Parts: sequence; structure tokens; C-alpha cells
Amino acid sequence: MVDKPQRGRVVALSPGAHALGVRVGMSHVQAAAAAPEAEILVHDAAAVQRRWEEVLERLDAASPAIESPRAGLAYMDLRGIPLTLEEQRVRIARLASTPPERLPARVGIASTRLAAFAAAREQCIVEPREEAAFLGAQTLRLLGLPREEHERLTVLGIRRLGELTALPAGALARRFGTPALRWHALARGEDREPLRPRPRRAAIAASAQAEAPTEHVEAILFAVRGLIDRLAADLQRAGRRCARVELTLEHERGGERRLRCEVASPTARAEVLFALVRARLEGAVEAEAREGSDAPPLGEAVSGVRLEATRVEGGGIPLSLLSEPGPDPEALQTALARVAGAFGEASLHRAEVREAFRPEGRFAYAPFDAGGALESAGRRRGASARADDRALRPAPHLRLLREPREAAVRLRRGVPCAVDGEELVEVAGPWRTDERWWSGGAERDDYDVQTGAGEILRIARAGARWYVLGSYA
Amino acid sequence: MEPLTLDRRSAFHDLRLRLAGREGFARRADGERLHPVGLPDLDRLLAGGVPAGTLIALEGGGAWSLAAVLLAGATARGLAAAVDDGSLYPPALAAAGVDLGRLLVIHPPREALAQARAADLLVRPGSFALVALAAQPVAHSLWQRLAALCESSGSSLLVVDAASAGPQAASPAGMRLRCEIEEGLWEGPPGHLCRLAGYRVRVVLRKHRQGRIGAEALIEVRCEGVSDGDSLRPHPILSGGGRLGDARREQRRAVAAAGASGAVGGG
Repeated sequence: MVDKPQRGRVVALSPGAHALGVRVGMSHVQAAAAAPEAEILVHDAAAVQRRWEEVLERLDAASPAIESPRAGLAYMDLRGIPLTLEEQRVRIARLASTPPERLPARVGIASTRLAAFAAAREQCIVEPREEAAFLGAQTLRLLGLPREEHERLTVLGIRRLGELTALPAGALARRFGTPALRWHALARGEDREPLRPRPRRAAIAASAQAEAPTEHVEAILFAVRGLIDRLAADLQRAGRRCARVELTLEHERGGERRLRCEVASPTARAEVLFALVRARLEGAVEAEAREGSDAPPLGEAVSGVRLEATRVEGGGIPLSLLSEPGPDPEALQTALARVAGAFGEASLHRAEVREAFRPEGRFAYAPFDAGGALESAGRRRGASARADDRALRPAPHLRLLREPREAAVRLRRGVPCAVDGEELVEVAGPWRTDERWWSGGAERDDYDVQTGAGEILRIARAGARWYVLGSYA
Repeated sequence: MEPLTLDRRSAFHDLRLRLAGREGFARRADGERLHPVGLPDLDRLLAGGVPAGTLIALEGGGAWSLAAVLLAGATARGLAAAVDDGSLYPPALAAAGVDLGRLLVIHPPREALAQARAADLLVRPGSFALVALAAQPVAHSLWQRLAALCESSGSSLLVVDAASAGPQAASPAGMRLRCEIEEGLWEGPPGHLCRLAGYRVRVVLRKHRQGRIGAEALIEVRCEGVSDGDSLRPHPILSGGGRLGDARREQRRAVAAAGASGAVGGG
């Protein structure tokens, strides 16, 4: 198995591949050359994690407290469970190797994590007060020490944990520092760190099946409304808020379509969640209508609807006693979702000013950052905001035309004196810009002019032609 | 945990104000909330500031400069939004003090109805203190709907260049201001050393619940880095030489007055 599809390295291999000469760390090409008949798989960390989560869900039946430091390794607290240790070992092995994974589970039972890990390799049970003797026979590698420390201990002739515990803990700490006290305790079968159970993932979901398949968005929204109420009630009972909702539309012929609704500020309010899902659903339908598809609005008739809160968070809404109330994050999120639903996600922007010679190049648009805007609005309210009010400075506002308009400009001694027949009373310029001269870009002369009627314009000459770029308004 | 409802937020806000013993906005005797613009002359004209939850119509030359000032005040208080019909110029907004990070810019299709719909969606939740929209030729009922939405949500809708939309936008507006660029301010000798230093905008109150109709205020709009005093030439000079005569000044006033009377007739 290699870690990535392109230029990957071997991260795991079967005994058969090892026998053919493949080794961990070889490149994909080297492994293929060493064992042409071997099948090379690509490691998919996300998929592995997903499958491991499923295994952990099943192991929940054996113990309520499970710590999993990495995929493939789990420590369980078995205290208080009315079964013998052997019965528990068999039960856990059966749960872990249940289809579809059928993983070759190895289970060991002991009173500390280190002893249990070693016991799992031998698939045995270490009785209480026998941990020190059991661990004493294990190799030093079991401790998982840093490479340098491991080599220093090996040089001193320490290869087994029993040899380590034979040394006085104080002398070991003087030479290797305070971490050595922990190694010593672990090797003696003592572990003072409590088990850290993984947070339990309670799936908050609701689903409904239609009596007859439907293509009508209104009918689907009617069902969604009921599901949202149930979902919000579950969230509120659990004291949680939801940051993402996934709507799954189950089609009559077995397919399904998923719509994901992100919530910038997690909420448990049914009306906010419904507005988001509604905007997302209607936006999807409108987008398909804009593309001119002849297919039904949602692909095909929908026979079932499922709604799941896929990102659930705790905590409340922070409010401040000492500043003015800011915009309601939930209402803002609803508004953004509605706009995105109506005009597409790409219609929400934040303007940015940048350096450029020509006015039309002095700004750009980036996606609107709702979270950042809310945070910024929360920071600068109250007295400081009023101070900013006083600092306002009216500035000339150049309003650019969408497209420059060609104009007839009359010159007097090379200086513009009339635009489209309108006499000029003031002319400032020219300011020459020559952008992208290296790629044949045209040079341009810009002027600010004031007409007799009082209009102030930005005009430009490009080659022999004159254009009105915009006006000050 | 039960989520905080809007009513509770409102109650929480009132409690906080009582504890703090102050309010972040002025309040008229009739309970209308006002947001001071920050320009003393204009605040006097508006009898304290811009009312919240109002459709505000700006007309005439210099309206966008005034709109930028109002947007700057709105982004200082919270969030604001602008519906861009393709001619929004963010550097000018930034120069006027608008916090662009707090300004949502929407780019709907350029059809009038789509622009109005975008304004509807932005005003409805009340999350944006001010929503700016270039006036669109849509039906009177639609403007009425937007005005009603402003009142219910507490957001204000700023309709800029409202005269171009005809009388439809003017009548539902709670506040109408007529702007006129009175004179350009130029700095430096004619030619490439000359530059636009700013302009003076006369603002006339055309419709308001409290203010005196017909009252005026003069706003000086200045470019950044322009020096004060004698270096400015407020009286335009012909580039070919010669001073603008009284006849031309009268002509400019006549043109501006014609525009104003057109708007009155429209309203």
C-alpha cells in the first residue's frame, strides 16, 4: 500500500509482498519493479478514518468509555461490566470483526494501557498485579521512545522493560530528565493518566417518506418544514447548535441528491434552519431553470426526504452588556442564503482596494466573509464607533460607466475644450498610463474636466479616440 | 439550551442600555431612532440624523458622494450592503471612510427587477443598517413594498439617483434629498499639474417628517491630501484662459434649476 497515487511510498505491505522483496519506504516504482505481480493499493486516510469510526460505533456496545489515539487502536474501560474478562475479550473481538469490515481484531485485557497494548499483541489477559512481570519481558520498543533516547538506553544494555525497572528511578531521571520517571512507571505497570473517552457523536437526523413520489418543490418544502421542527427540537433538548445541515432527496428509482447548507453562526432555531434549507433548495431549482434543462426541477420524482445535522456544536450565543447590539448572525446567515439561492453563491462579494494606475483597476471583488464582518462589527461598536462617525470625510465619488462611452472631443492648442459639444470650464491632465507595454498594451491619457453645466467627468484619449470613463457624482 | 429569540435579544438590549445609562443613537420624542450622519450641517438639516427603517431617496449630482458618507456611518455602526449595477466604485467608498470589510456587495443581473429583488432580500432581515441601490425603473407598488419592508425590519434603503426612476420611488420615500454640485474645486495651474480637489454639494431637503422642507446645507467634498486655503480655485477657469463669466454661472444655475424643477414635477 502506498501513501499517495503519484510518487507515493510504501507504507504497509503483506507478508507475501515482503517475501518478494518489497519494503516499507520504497517508492511506488521500486515496489512495482520488485514485485510486478503484487497489487498496489493507495492509502485513503479519510476512508480509513470513516471505517474506523464505524468500528468504534459498534464497540460502544461493549463499553461507554473508549479512547482512540489513532485509527486501528482503541482503549476501553471495562470496569463495572458484569462479565468475566475472557467473556469480554471474546465479545469485543466479535464486535470489532463484524461484517462488512471483518477486521482481524486483536484484543488484550490489562489494567494499564501499555500492558493492554502488549497483551493485545499476544491476545491474552494480564491478571491484576501481574502487569510488572508481564511487561518486564517486553522489549524496550513497546514504550515508543524517541529514537535518540531509545538508542542511548540500548547502548547502556537495556533492551527489555524489566531491565529498565531494575534501575533506580531517580538515577534514570538525573540522566534522561523527568520524562524518564514516566517511562519507569509505565514499565512497572503504573499509569496515572486517566482514560480520555472520545466524544460521542449523536446523529441528529429526521426523515420522511412520501405516500406518492412528487416533483413539486412546495410539497418537498412542506415535508422539510416538519423535519426541521423535529431536528431543532432534538438540538435544543441536547443543548446543541447546528453548523451544517444536509438535505438528502431520495429519488423514486433509488438514486439520491444531497444539498448541503452551511450555517456561519451555529443555530438551533427552526425558522433559521428552514429558511436556509428553503433558500438552498429553491436556489438549486432556479439554477437548473437558468441552465434551461428540460429535466424535472430536482432530477426526478422524490420519494423520500432526509435531513441531518452533520456539524453539531455546543455553546450559546455570546452577547455583550457593554456595547450596542450587533447584527443577528442567524438573520444575516438567512439573508445571505436567500441571496445566494436567488442569484448564486458567486453574487456575494466584498470589495478590496488595490494599487493601480488606472481607476478601473483600483479595486477587485472577493467572496464575502460573513464571519469576519460580524467579528469586526462586534469589535468596533459603542463609543469607538461614534468617534469614527466624527472622522467621516466626504470624498469625490467617481462613478465609472459600465463600458467607456466614445465621445467627440474638440481640442484647442492640444487641450480638450469641449466634450460632445459641451464647453469645458476646467481641465486637469493629461495623466499618461501605459499598462502592459511589454505585451502591446495601449497607452492612455486621462483627464478630469468640468463642463459648463457643472458636470465633472473623467475622460480619456486612447490612440485617436476619446472616451468618457465616468462622472463624479 | 433554548436559543435566544429576537424578543429576548431586544429585551437584553434594553436592559443593557439601562445599565449603561446611555444610548448609541438619538431618539426623537415620538420614539423614532436617528443615526447622526457626522456632518454638523447635514445633521441640523435632518433634525438630528437619518431615521432608521426609512426609504431614503437621493437625487441629483453629488448624490453618490452623500451616499458614501451615509454608508461610512452605517459600516461604523454595523453592516451595510450595496446592490451593484456595474458602476459602483469601491475606492471612492473607501476614501469616504466606508469599511469595505463590512460592506456586502451584491452582483445580481442588471435587469431592474433583479436589482430590486436583491434590495428586497437584503432589507428584509434587518441585518444591514443601510442598503444602497441605484434607482431602477420599477413599479410604484414595488417601491411601496420596499418602504414597508424598511419600516418593519429597521434597515434603511438608500435609493441613489432616484430622479432617474421617475416619481415611482419618490412618493414612498420617507426622506428625499436633492443634491447639486455647486462648484468644482481645482488645485494647481491648468494642465497636467492641475487636479480636481473636490466639489461643493448643496443638499436641499425635499421630504422629511421632522425637518424643514426646502432647507439647505452645503457639504464640501475633498480629495485626500488636498491643502486648504488659497491654493484652491473654486471658480472654474477656461483652460484656454479667461475667467468664467457671470453669464456662464447663470447658465449653470439655470441648467441645475431645470433639473430640480423636473424632479419636483416628477414627485
